[in-house]
Amino acid sequence: MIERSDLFTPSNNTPEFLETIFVQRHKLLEKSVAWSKDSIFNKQKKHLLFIGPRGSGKTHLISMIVNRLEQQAGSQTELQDKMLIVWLGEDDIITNFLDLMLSILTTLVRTYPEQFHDKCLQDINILDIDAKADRIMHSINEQLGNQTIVLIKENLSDVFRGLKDSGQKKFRSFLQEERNTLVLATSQQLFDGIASRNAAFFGFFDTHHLKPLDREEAMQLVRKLAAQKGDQKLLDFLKAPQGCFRMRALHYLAGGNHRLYIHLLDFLTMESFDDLVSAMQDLVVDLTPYFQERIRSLPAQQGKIIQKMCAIQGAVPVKELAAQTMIDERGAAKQLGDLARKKYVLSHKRGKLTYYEVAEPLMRLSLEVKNSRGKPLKTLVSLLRAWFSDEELQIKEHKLIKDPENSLFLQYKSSALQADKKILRDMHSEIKKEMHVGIAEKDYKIVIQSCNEILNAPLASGEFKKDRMNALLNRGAAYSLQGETEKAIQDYSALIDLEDTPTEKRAKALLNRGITYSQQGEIGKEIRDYGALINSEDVPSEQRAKALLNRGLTYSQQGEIEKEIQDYNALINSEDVPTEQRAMALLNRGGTYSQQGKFEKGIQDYSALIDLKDAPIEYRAKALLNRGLTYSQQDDTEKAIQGYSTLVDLKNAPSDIQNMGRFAIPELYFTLLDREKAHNALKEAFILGDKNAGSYPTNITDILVSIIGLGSSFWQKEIDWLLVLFKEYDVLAYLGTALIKSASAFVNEPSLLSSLKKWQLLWQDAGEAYEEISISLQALAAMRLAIEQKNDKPLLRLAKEVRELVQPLVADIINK
Amino acid sequence: MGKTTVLNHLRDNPNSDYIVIYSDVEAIATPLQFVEKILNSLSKHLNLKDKISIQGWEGLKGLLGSMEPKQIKFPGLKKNWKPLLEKTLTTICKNTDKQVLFFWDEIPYMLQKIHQNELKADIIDNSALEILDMLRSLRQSISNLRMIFTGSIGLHHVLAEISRDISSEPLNDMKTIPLEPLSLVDAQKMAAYLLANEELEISEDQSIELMINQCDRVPFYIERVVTRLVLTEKPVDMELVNQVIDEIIVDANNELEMEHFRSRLATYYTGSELLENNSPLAHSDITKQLLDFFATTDTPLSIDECHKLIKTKFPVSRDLVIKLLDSLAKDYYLCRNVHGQYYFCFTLLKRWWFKAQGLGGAGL
Repeated sequence: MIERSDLFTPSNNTPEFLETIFVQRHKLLEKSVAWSKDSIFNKQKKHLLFIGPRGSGKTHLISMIVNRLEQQAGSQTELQDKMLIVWLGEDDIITNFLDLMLSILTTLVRTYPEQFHDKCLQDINILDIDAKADRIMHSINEQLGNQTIVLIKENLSDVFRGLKDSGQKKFRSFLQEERNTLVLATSQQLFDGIASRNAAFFGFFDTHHLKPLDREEAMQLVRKLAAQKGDQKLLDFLKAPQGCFRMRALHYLAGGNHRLYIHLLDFLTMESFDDLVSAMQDLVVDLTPYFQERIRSLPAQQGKIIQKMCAIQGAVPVKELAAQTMIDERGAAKQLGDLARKKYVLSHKRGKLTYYEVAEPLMRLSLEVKNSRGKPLKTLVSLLRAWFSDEELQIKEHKLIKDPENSLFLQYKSSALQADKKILRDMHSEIKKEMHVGIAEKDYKIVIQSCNEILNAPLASGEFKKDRMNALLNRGAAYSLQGETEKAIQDYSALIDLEDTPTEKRAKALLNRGITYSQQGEIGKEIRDYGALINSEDVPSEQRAKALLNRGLTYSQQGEIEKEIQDYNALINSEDVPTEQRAMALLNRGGTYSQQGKFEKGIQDYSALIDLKDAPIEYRAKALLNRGLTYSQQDDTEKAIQGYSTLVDLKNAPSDIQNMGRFAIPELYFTLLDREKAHNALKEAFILGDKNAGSYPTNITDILVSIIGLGSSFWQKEIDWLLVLFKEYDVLAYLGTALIKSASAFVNEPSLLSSLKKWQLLWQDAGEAYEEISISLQALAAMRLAIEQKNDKPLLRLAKEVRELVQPLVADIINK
Repeated sequence: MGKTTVLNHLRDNPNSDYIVIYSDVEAIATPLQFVEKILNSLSKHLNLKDKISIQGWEGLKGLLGSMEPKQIKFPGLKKNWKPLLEKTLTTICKNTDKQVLFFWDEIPYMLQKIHQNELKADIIDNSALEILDMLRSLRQSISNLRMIFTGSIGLHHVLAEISRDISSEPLNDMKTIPLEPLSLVDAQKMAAYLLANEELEISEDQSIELMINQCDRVPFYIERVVTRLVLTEKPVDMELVNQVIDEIIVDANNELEMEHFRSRLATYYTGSELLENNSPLAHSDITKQLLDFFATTDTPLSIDECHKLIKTKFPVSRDLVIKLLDSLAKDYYLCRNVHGQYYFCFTLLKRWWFKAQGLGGAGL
């Protein structure tokens, strides 16, 4: 078990412990150690200064740097021989350069008594102050030899204040002339001695502003602390959605300050209202001196501004603060800028205005204590609002209620119930942001986590109900997309069964549950959900249209064509259907009509979609493609070509659909026996088609079949031409596959079967020089022999995977 | 600009026929302390006795007190600093055949301080100028004596302050070398070295070019940007470089202290014009407006263009615009090209100014 007091003094903790609870700054630590090592061995020094408010982990970081350097020195003699750690006391008072030199020397003598002595201090009192400092400095340099001091000083700003201008210059001179000292320092804020361009140390330090913990880093810290304490209950709680929600609430209070999480650690698992309020009040009393000291350390005007900001809830613009503090606006803006640099306030830009608020709500809380006069503290009321549900806050029984002094508990409950729910709104809004990031990035784990938090947050009346409903819907969708269909259905069902679910949300839940049932193969339940949605009153037209469309598709898969068409009819005939759904219904109905051989009706639907105003371009392109196909099925080749030509010229149409149109055209020209146009069309398809999209090339088997249809006298020329063309565009592999499939044209048409040999031999001769199609040529030859010999023996010579491809093509004819 | 790095390099890599003695003299407030500083810096160089003949070393011993290094103090010798300085430098130089090179870092601050101390104490001596005169005279009389003066502020500013006699030219035998930004090739080399040293993954080669250009090829800025890039733990691309530079210049804790360039305008440009309605128009406000124009254009502006633009805001004369542009150029805000057009000298300052003045929206 670790004592809390030890946690506040990192330098008193073991290196192992500090390593265990270290979060957030691993890279900075790693680099700082590396930079320090370089500086120890080289004359060029990278002096490091870490800046952050109290409790931000500066000492922890610097202790870790020293620990790691010492650890490495344990195994590296060279480093051990070279490095001398001089850690000056945090509270050592330095009023001049002499004090600094004396501190360094006495620390050296104390830390390395065998190597260092302080003989130079004998009879020193006869010298003046500068001479004393010089003598000590010389003694240090003399005893140091070629070693490097790693000088560690916290609160460097205090040292600089003590040194004043002349001392700072002497210190810089010491560092610059000797180059045997590396400084690792911390400060709560930037100070003139280093920040001003006129200062001797301007640009001298590599300065790092330590950022406050974000929520995830704070969670890591709390987890590590809980693990160190062996608190399994807390560790489990942190994994639960309620634990995450409470961490958010504490983060709101702690403002990312490391040390405050150590204070707040035990609060997380407090269930009792009375315990939490009592513990918080004790904490506030403990912390008040700390925050008061921080405010006292500020210049008067800044202290006044902070005090005023603590009295105001929320962020305010400069003008308002200036008016309330009676400081002129320009002065207030300047002081606020400085306070922002010191991390006392946070600024938010909105348009031309900048709003400011206190960075640490606990600071506000601590200052409120002074003025509360026994009344509930607003900040604590906010926290309670985030911690407890309405129901819990309405309980009036308290274990100590008989004691009149403790009626404050009731006041807290009543205040929390009546309070503005800003903290809850802020927290919900933060969670929703995370959820939307998850949705955008398709990270369903994050979506589910965020929804869990919302659904497990304390129940409060008002707008939060809407968040809960959205969370059920989104979590359901995330589960469904992850394949966890049962959980998805549970969420949708919960939303559907809630009494006050708005029609629109219930419709979405029904639609999604229907889709999820479809994933599960539960067709009956699926159709029932769509039906429930379609028959509900006041359902948004988009939801109803989607349900009709989905049910139509499901009927289609079930072979219930009448019902399918009825659903599409209902959708298409409605007036207020969104264009996208109308387009989809026309495309689907057109397809179904075409499959039924009702070509005219199919063409009508496709044409209606093509002419539909604002129809999505993808659907329009598909309609053009399908209409072309239907025309060609009707043997209306001219119209088919015309339709495909319109498709390839359609701006912004999907490239893969256009590719299909392009490669359909040459086949049709061959059918029309117009070889020249067919050649041009195929060439154009290769040149103008999108290589990087799908279906490039496509339809090659049909092109070969249409060439077979030209008659064998044309075959030789066409084969030669095809080989050259496909070689030129580096797509011979596609031709090879199509060549194998072309055998089916002979198998399916008995009158052609006798010409298969010629087809095969012509390819054999012409294709010999093309390595890319050699396997296809072998396959075609084997197929021909198998057909001629009426057994599949010749096929055995083919590789297994090729054989498996060709066997079904010739199986029927061999078996005949 | 990398002054300290250049100095350290020169200190650490002298030619074999040079004795190099470095001192940071920024904290020195009296001429005597200056002499003490020289002697103390000599005493630190124990190996000097190998380079200086024993006879010479013995001569110095009288001043040093012993062969052991210890601090040198001359109590009660306020007036005698000149012979001490002369003897010290003469002795060391006459007893070696090597070139003796003194590096005095931040010498302008020292001279300024000595001068201001004397003014405060109503001392009529002008020791600061006398030191310079004496050093010049010693340089001319001792052939193997060499000096390098360095400073964060220009020595000419201090000289103007301390020199009563305008004919006094104690530095006319010295060459002034302003440290300019690195050449493109050197900046590329430096950036590549730093990035490789930190084992940073570069996912877009153009990001190095972007970084050195945005840092105006100033080594200090390049080094700071690389350090910040290291800590992001991300592969370096153009977006990351821009983001890091924005963070450095927009952060409330802007370590480059760019605000200095805005706030000092009120100190440097103290004049004002009287408008027709008798209200004063501060020159600092006109310069701010001019810089706003330069920050919002990528095209250099001529005097006439500036005058035309400024007239849309303030009724000021062309002569005043010329004067203010000239001053802005002398203070390194603006540079001038061969066509006489002005533009922001430093991209980083321009970028900061644009953001700080809220020229694209909210300001700092």
